Amino acid sequence: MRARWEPLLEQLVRERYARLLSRATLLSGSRQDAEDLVQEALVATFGGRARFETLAEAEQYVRRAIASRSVDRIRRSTREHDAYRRLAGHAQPTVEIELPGLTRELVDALARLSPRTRACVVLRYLDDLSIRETADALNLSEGAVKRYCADGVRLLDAALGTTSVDLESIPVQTTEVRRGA
Amino acid sequence: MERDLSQLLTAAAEADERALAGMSVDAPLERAHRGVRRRRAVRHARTTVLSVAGLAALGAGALLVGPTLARDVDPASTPTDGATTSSSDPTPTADEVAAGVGLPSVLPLPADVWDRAAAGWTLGIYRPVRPTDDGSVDVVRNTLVLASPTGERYRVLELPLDREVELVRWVAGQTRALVTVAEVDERGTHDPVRGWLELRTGELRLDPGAVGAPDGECPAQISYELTDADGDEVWRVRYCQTGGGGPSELVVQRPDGTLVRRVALNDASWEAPVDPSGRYVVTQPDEPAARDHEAVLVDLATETRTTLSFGAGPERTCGFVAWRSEAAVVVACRVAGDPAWWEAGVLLAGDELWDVPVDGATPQPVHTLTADDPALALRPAVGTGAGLVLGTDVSGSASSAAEPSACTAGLVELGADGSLTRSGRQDLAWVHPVAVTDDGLRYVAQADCDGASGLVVQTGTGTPDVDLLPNPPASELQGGLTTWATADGPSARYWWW
Repeated sequence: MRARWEPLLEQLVRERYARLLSRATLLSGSRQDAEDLVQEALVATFGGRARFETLAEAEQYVRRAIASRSVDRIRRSTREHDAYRRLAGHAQPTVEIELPGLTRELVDALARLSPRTRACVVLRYLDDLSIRETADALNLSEGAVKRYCADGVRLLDAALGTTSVDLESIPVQTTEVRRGA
Repeated sequence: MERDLSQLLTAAAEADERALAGMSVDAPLERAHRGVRRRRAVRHARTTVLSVAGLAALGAGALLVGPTLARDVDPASTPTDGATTSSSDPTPTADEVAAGVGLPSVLPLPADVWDRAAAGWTLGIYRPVRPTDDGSVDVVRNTLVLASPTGERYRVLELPLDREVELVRWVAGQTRALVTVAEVDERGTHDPVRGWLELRTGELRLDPGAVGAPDGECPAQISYELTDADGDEVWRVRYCQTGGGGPSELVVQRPDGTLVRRVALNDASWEAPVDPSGRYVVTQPDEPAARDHEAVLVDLATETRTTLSFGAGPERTCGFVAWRSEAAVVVACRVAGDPAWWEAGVLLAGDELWDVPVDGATPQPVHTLTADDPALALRPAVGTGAGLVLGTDVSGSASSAAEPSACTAGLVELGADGSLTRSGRQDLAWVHPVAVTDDGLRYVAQADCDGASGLVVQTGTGTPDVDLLPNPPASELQGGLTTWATADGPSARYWWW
């Protein structure tokens, strides 16, 4: 007999695994780390007390768990220190990875950001979370989220030649926005 | 042509997603299945203290208690103000309840027990659940148990299954206890409301006082901190807000619910520990760059805010560990290193403990961990007046944060002279100090490697520990003890790991 959570887990993995993995890759910069991140987030989500009515609810929960865990994992290692050094402009060895669909310039630019900065930028500029939602997902203050986002966007815009809209001037979405769904 | 960062990130993610579209997900799905099953199977074996509360220091007989940590409350509506609650959930079989399933060994309640129950007696609530085939759980029982200081336990009464009750404070001699009550229905566990539990009848009466949500507002999350030197209750309240989060504050109110004062906390002050006397709260500076070197001390009576410098110099990053007493806090510092080291919650070789008086006296380093010291878990730590009691981390030796070592957890005491001394059993699976009385009793939540867990009182005098409120023997049930309160003593709540 299957438990209630099993069909939803299976549906989520079969229908959204690629999307979860791509988000996790943007956060971690490594496909292998991304796979571990997605696994951890799935186990935490479905092994915990939360209950979901829809696939969208479960996916949103997992995506936020991926973001928060990407910060947690790296802060437990020495890599955040390395990331801060990169942010400060110190040279670090480049790790060659093959990421189909992701450009080298974007991977390199994201790799210059600290884990928290990267997580803030991805949640704000890819997942369209509000400042407060991002703060809650990452257990940061709203002020810290604003600071990390400002730092990250400035670096990314400089590296990628992009421009960024000040998301604070846009009314906050309180429902999930999923691009390309 | 200019590119928009948001559009670039979206395009990259979508391109990567398309490139991954054909991949087999059988392996990650199976891995996730295994992980979730294992996580659910072991969840019952591990509980953790996430909310700790106790009495204020009131001269002789004072209790010094640990910090209040994070909550995990499902956002939902609040039970009706002033209502007497009732049960509507399906019940387990009467045979199961009568047979004491999900309880430790207990005795029938003697008729004169409330005349004998004095300071040091402890109330506990056992609320084990049974996993169902659909992944949810059924509450098996919700039983109030009374334990004497020497560990004799009595079964008091059954509480409604659809109410989650947290024991907050019990004054010796009274036949009611201060509690929070959360309604449980098919949507989950609602936000708790302050109330009273009549110990003779089991009646639950909601009495939110000043910590209730205003009419028309969404409910607030509340957690009891302590009773201050004036006998007033100090509660932490976080108000809900669309999109999550919301402002938080400390609310001081009299036992009859009359508001004394509210003290706003800034967004950065996630924990804001209150000192054992209820006079001060330590908060984070508004300026993030200052948080590694100082805190803001708020006088709850006057709301005067004073900078509390850690005094360890700009080359160190420091963070608050615990109130040692109402006169000083202990902070932990690391020289250089990973800027986020603090959040790992473990002290390793080279890390320093500093004593920081709140009267402005110069902070002093009291101990630098060596490779021979145990790795120390920063939370929860409990002040003893002279020093701290901490638990060791499963990392084992402070020489590294390497592979966890099974069955090596125990308590460590930081003495006034800066010494670190192991205390009590050191063969545990995990240990959380909850409170230390000034006569040396340590209230400890712990689990050993044979599966025995629960609330233990360590005397520290060489006499055997008292298994005050043990969890029931391992069975198909999950959980057991969920909350407890000692008469004129500490109280705590457990959440699922």
